[in-house]
Amino acid sequence: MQYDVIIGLEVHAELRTKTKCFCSCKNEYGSSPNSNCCPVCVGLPGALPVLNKHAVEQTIRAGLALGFEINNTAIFERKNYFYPDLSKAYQISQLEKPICINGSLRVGEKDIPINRIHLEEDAGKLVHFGSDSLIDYNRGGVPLIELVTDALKEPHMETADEAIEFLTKLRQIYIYAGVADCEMEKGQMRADVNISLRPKGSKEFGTKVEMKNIMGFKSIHRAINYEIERQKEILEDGGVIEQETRKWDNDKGESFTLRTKENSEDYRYFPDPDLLAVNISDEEIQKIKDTMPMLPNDMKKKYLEEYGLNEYDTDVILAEKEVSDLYSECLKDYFQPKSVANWFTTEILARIKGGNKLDISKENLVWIIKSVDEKKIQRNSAKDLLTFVWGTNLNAEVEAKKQGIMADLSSDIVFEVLDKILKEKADVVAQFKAEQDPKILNFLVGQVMRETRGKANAGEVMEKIKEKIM
Amino acid sequence: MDLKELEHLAELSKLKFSEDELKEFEKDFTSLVELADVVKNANVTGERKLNIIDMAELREDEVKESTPVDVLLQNSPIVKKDSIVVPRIME
Amino acid sequence: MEIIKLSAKEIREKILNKELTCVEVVTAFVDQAKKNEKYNAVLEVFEDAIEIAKEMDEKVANGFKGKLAGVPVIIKDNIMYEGKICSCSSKFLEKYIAQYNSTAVQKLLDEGAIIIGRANMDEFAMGSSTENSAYGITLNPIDPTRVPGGSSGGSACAVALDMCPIALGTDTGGSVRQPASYCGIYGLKPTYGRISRYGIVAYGSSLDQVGIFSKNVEDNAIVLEILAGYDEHDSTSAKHPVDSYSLKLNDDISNLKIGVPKEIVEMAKGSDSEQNLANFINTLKSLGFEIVDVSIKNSDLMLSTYYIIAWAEATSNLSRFDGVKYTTRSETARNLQEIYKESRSEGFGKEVKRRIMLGNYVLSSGFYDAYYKKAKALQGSLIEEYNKAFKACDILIIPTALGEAFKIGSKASPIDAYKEDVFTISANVVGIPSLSIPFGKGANGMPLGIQIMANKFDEAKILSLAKLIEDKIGE
Repeated sequence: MQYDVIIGLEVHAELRTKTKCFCSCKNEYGSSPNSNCCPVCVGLPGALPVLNKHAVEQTIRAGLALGFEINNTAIFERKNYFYPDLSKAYQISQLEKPICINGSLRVGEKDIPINRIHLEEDAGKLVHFGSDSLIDYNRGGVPLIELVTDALKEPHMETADEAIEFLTKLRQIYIYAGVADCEMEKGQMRADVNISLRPKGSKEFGTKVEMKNIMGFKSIHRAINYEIERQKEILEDGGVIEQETRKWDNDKGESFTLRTKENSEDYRYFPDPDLLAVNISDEEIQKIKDTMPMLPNDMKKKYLEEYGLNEYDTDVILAEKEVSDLYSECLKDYFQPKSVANWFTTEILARIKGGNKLDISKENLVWIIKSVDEKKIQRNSAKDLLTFVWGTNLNAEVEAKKQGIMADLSSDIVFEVLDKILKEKADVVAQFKAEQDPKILNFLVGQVMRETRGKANAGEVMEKIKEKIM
Repeated sequence: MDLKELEHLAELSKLKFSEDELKEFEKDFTSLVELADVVKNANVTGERKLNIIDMAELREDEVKESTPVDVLLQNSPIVKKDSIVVPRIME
Repeated sequence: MEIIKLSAKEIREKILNKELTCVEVVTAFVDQAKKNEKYNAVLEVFEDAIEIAKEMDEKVANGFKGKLAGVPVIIKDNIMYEGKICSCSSKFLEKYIAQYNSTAVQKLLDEGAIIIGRANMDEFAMGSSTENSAYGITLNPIDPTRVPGGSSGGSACAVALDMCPIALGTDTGGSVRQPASYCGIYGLKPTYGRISRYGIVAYGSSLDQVGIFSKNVEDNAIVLEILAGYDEHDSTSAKHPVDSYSLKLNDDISNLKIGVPKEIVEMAKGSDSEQNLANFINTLKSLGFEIVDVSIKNSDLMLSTYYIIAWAEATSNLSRFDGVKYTTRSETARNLQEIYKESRSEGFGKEVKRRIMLGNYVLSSGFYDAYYKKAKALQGSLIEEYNKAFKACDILIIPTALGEAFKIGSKASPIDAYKEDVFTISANVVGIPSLSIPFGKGANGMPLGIQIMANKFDEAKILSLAKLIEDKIGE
């Protein structure tokens, strides 16, 4: 039997703000336990939440970047459940009137419908240690946006590849819009996946199985494929899919039941009486629109149309905002889009592969590229120089001079060397005159280059030799 | 309201009751649910009043000093490594 | 001159005039509190109060002129005062030490008040008699066989017995006004949002307000002036400007129109309060006020609306007390679920458990729309009704309670106890200010109270009218 697969995503991303969602403590990763906390974070009796304006702005920005409608009234609800990382035993979240509704994201040729983005607070973190679990509330109250795709509407995501493309693009847009850093290893972006299967062509939805909090795109990809196969097997055997929440074990490469429908939580949502509904005026929305940074789609258009780059180069440069930021900076000083792009898609890409840090100053990079273009340095010397100054505070120009790799054809030295070589190799010169073999000419150029330790410009040396002996 | 429903509410409430206690609750609950049912059965339409704040009035995103961890956790039953401790949680 | 009979205003004046020292004042009130221990109004008299009084004397000598310089205050035990236990009269928070000051306490301290103790209450403010305290019943200051009212019964009793000129309470459904009425003093519940709730242990967050107990109107106005105002820590606190209440007390208010809501008068039929309200109306008439009948439809829905909202919010608010973070953890608990269930079952008293269960009932899946959501809609229509009423008049007057303070143990069934709140809850559901003033006596000679209510932020009108009546009765 053939099946249609329907994949839904719930994606959490921690917002980039200075302070937490409901208090003025730092929103900062990696601090010592409970050091970024106050009575609000720990849920002390009598403490009250006070909403961060910037968290609302950032949520609106995220929504606008994905073409969402923004609700003019946003309400915050309490989602009640007991867990040690949730200090108040309720999470402040949004149910009835989230900030953003009805957006979409293009995956391949499909516009995947998205139901909502709402703003909520992150929970703290449990650290397991021997027979203890230690509670750290530093992350508690960090502003978090939850995006929920609308799997009830067409078109659907159907494969793990599509889901990963969705997540990759979403991450890219969040980063470009400046709303979230989405560093996966810090847990700043996390996804829950819903999967259901139905016989091909059927209009009825199958039973949905949810997989919670899978870390990293590779694990998500594996988990989706595992779940599709698991459900297929059950259905092929004439079985019934149970509505449940499963947890993915990446080490074992399999998932297991976390809870079934019967013991699903009743969150008893109700509007948080400690907070007011927020009036989001059209003027506020416009202000955020007006300050929206350029998003990947627009940048791609610009690269293709204005800069004349090809599709591949464009995608490589835009994949990481850090890289495209450096590219744009370089162009400000040296507007040679194609020439600069070449360096990015080869030399820069090679050096940052596998998550290595992009660690070169704009000044050094521009100087190196420009020097090659102006034939002041040999390309190979320039690559070595790039490696040499990468990750240091060294100045490329100073180092190039120190190393004596600067080409300087106008200098007498190069002419002297050239004349000397022509004199020494008079027989070769004669041979060239007789045979007119370009190989011989190249040999002579090579001799000059060797003698000047690469300082000379090979092309110009060639011209000069021709001039002299022809 | 029967005992099974009360047990469900007790679970949501994270409360434990003896059977006698539950039976006593059951008795009181009947009259209290009647009190609540006045609302349920009321033939009145009204509209919820929202208290609203303009976005511009919300808190500015400026960091203020956090509370020292020893003060923050001074009432906590068990503290290790500046963290509240619970018995290890298995998922 | 008997120090403990002085008003807050007089105490401050005498301290600034050097007729009295803060130490003398605090010593007198602390002694009075200790002398009356049998009433169990105060859970703890703060031993450092005398020390603080000494410091305050120095400050005053150096020119400090705080509006409450040297005035002793007792606070309800759900109001955070840094470094002091804040138990909410619950076993669960027996050893809980406040880690920060509530905004209300901070404002009192800034004006030189000296907090001398914490007062008994119904556990987590749930009750109308102070019988629901884990630390014993508080006795009525006039007749110790009766309750002082609740939930702020300890605070009311303390003021009535001259243990302090001023006490703070909290009022979610009448918890300041009803005990004020039972103890024969003044008790004000301001407009919702008028005083910050930061540092007040929440019961029903959308209904809770800090309230003020005093022996006269002027002291109440002075304290309100200090406590009122926007607080950046409380999103629901109002930015509305604060009146100079104490300076406006003698304003000309002869043109105020007084409304009597007939549906509520109907509810008082046959009680002590019916006749008492009629007497009060006559007093107002004799003072030349225009009295108008007003109608507030659906008043019969008020009690249910109130309790559904209060239960729901309480359930959620009290979930943070879970044995994990700061409340007493059950010693027998071996795993997380046992920590929750055993700690909470051992820590909470019966009435609190009952309301938590009821809150979960009205919020739980399948019931939410019929109860909580509908209650919020009804609240909306009741607010409309009051808005209409305040177009026809400036002030509403109704009884505070059905009658005198009742006998200890006489309201054993919860539903009878809940009905105690029938007159007081409307101010909370609608969010308007209400002051209970002592007026008249019941059949057993116990004090009765009348509520003077006004539209949002019209506390000045209430206090001015109360002052006029206080002066008239005093004649």
